[in-house]
Amino acid sequence: MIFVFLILIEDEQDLDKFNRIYTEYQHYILQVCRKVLKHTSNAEDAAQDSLLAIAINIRCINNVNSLQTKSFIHIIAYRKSLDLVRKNRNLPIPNDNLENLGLADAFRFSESILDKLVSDMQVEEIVAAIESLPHPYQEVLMLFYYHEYSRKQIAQLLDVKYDTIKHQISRARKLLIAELEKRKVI
Amino acid sequence: MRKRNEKLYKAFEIIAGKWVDDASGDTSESPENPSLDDEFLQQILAKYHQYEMSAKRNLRSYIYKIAIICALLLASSITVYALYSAGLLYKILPFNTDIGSTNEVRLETIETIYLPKATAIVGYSQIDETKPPDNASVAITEYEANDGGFMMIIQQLATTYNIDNENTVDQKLKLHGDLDAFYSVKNNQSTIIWTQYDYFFELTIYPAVGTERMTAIAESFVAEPKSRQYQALCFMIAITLSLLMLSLKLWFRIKKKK
Repeated sequence: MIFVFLILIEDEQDLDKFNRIYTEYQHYILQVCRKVLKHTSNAEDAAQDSLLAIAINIRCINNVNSLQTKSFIHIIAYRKSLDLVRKNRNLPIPNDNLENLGLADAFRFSESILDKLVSDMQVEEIVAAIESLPHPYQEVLMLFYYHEYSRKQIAQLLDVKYDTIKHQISRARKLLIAELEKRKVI
Repeated sequence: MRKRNEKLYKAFEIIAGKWVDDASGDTSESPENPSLDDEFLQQILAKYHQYEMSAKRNLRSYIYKIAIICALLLASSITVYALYSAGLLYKILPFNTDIGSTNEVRLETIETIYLPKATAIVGYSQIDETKPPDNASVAITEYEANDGGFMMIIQQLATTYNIDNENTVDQKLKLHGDLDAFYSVKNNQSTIIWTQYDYFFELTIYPAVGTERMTAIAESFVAEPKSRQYQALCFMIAITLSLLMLSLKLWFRIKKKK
């Protein structure tokens, strides 16, 4: 296996890191992909894309056995599966209706408002609010707030344009604020 | 570095844990472990090569685009510069070439000739370019005395426009002020206004008029060259940009058709 990735990863430490990730998470990646795609050969395809993306962005991973790494790999696998869904339109599209969000125009979405809202709430309430967001938004917020990647890094990781990520983060934040405000009123 | 919001971080940590547990625990759809064999890895490698190729292609196409834009810009600039230095730009530009318009003296020109400096340089090289001459007479006398180049041009024009060659020298128009860009030769039949630009001379031949009137015309003309050069520069930029835009439009259309 190392022979294959010797070409992809030049640094020996990175190669060792990737080898450990591959050994530890190969089945996990495939499982995530299969859960989205519900089709073994397509899931294998998405898993290959995920491993490739991980190999290219291997420097973003610090501790192989941490929860952060596992959730990072989860996001990559999930996004690569979604990409495959988009590519092959005949495959079932996961129920993430991004357009029909019913957003009001007068949202206040600055970071400080989110901070203020979050400071008055319980962690469980915040978790529930985040979980109520559509999946792609949960992931970008996860990469932004939990993995603490910059917008540029996220765009590179998910292989999308910087503007798309910027827009997605801002929209996800708006949604989260709206959801938190709703829960606060209740 | 962004300031971490601890509560948000904690919330996302809980969610990450849930995701991982869900995916790890969900084995209902994958009863057997998939076979991640050599073939699987070879496929990843093939994908990597594809990715590498596409990255190289993107880089190459980006370099091509920049190179083509630079080449087009260069070509347009050279074209316009060539037109300008050959004096042809003035012919295609919508300038008002009637001299003396500011002094309400209007004369029909017989002809305007644009002479690249390269052809007139023989005569021109003899004059001290660092100092404008006191008046046109001095400049022309110096030309006469030192080199036959200028006279050759005048003689040629004199023959063409039936100007008495001997009188041309004798009846020079006396001019004062900023004469760096202006010389004039006059006889009874025609007047030649000799204006010096950066890369060419403009020789305008007018019908003969009285000295006083000619001086008025000439003085108003002296002030013009600089503003006309700025005008020419603006047109040069405009033409260059237009040519560039046109080329780009054509290029994109061709590319789209392909």
